[in-house]
Amino acid sequence: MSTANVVVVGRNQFTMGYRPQGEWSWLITTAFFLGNVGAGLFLISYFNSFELGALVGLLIVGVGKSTAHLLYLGRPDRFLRIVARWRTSWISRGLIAMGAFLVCGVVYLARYLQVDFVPHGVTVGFGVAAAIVAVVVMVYDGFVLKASRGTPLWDTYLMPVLALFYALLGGTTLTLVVQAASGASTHAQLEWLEIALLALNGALVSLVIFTASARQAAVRAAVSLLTRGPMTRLFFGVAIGLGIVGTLALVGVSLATGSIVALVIAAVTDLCGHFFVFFSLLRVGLHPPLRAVSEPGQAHVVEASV
Amino acid sequence: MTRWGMVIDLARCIGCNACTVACKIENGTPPDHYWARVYTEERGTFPDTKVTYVPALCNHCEDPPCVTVCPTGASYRRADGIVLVDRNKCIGCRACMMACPYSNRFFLRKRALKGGYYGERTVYEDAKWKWFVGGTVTKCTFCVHRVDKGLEPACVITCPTEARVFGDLADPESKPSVLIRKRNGKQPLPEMGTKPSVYYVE
Repeated sequence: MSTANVVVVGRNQFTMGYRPQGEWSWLITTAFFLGNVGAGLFLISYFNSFELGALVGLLIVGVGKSTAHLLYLGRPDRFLRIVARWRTSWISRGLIAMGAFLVCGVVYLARYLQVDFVPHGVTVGFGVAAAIVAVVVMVYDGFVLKASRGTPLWDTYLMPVLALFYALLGGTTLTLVVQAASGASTHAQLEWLEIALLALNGALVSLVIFTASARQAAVRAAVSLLTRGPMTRLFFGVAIGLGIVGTLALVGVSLATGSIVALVIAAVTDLCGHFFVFFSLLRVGLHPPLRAVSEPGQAHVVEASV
Repeated sequence: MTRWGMVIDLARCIGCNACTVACKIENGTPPDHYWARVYTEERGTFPDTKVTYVPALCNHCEDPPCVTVCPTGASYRRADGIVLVDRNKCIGCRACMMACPYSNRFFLRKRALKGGYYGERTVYEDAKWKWFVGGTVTKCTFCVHRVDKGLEPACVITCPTEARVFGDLADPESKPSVLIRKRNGKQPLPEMGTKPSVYYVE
């Protein structure tokens, strides 16, 4: 299917066709992104006993992600209501996990923050708990997307998997950068982990694209916008080209030469790629037409901008 | 137990959009909020083309994905099947808009209520817009304020060709139930598994 056959109509256009979701964009992508990399950084730092990294991860989630969400909400004054429907809503579960993550994370880091009266055993226990809820913070965005039945592109378990592995990748990248910036010794294993995660994430994104042909017409239409439509440059240029291929090359250079500059540039390209993978996937989210799907030759109104 | 629903006869709809206007007048919806709409569907290639008018509104699904994803409980389904949004609970996260396959939910930006349709707000707008809260999501209510009084929704009574038939789907002898049975009524996007309470017959 070429883009010309994807009949995308405006939200208030009284014409049958695919309707792009126009509400989840920059701010939601930012919130998802910060949640992923913050929790990922905490987790990777936790396993490397690198408290500074864990603290930065907590701050990214506690300040960055929370602020992005509050800025996005139509009624931020009511945000505490979010916890009400944890039985069915992944947004509720996500907020609860975020709260637990911040509390457990702060207690885990108490001794590092020179709050000495907290017993060692308590910090260890809360550290384990924080690591567990960090995983929930990393993946819940993917489940929020999976639960969006009206946007078939996202309605796949690949979304939480993608969120998990991009979070691990972002966490690994930031751990390397924070270690380098703080003068701590960087571990070559982390760079190898980064290479492995880059390859895995490349494969996962490819899977989202290539499995589209076996899914609903709305998924094929959305992927068509991604690969041959208005998001193509951003998706292939930044998300894949810069984010995966460019980062792989730079991490390779860093590993071979020990160059900190290459490592920092790799971190920038990786995080850009991470952000724009999710931004692209959000922007091409299409709601299906109310009735039959337009086939080639039946399209009359073509407006491919999303 | 009552389950309110609607059957739309596509063979009768002439695309006059009287339902669109009736909904606007009855509910006083703000600009760009069209709870009732009529889509134009063109099929075929010139000169063999066919135009069908497809009225659309919230389907008040039996298994509404918008209710499941709502984190605050603002979106809920009444015992009679009508799906509503509690404007005092909605936080404007718009997850329900992503979950609704039919694009039947609308986000009301705060600035939308500042001015009227044509500059200053009219007395009518002042009266109607007190029911809306900026920063929340709105949707068709099946004219619940009328239904609760035993009246039919505004779009139904306005339709000049009687293309819309409203009634109790739980009653096998109600007008919509009979129409669905006799003319093989179809729900929109059944593959989504939402079990809409709005059916189409051709």
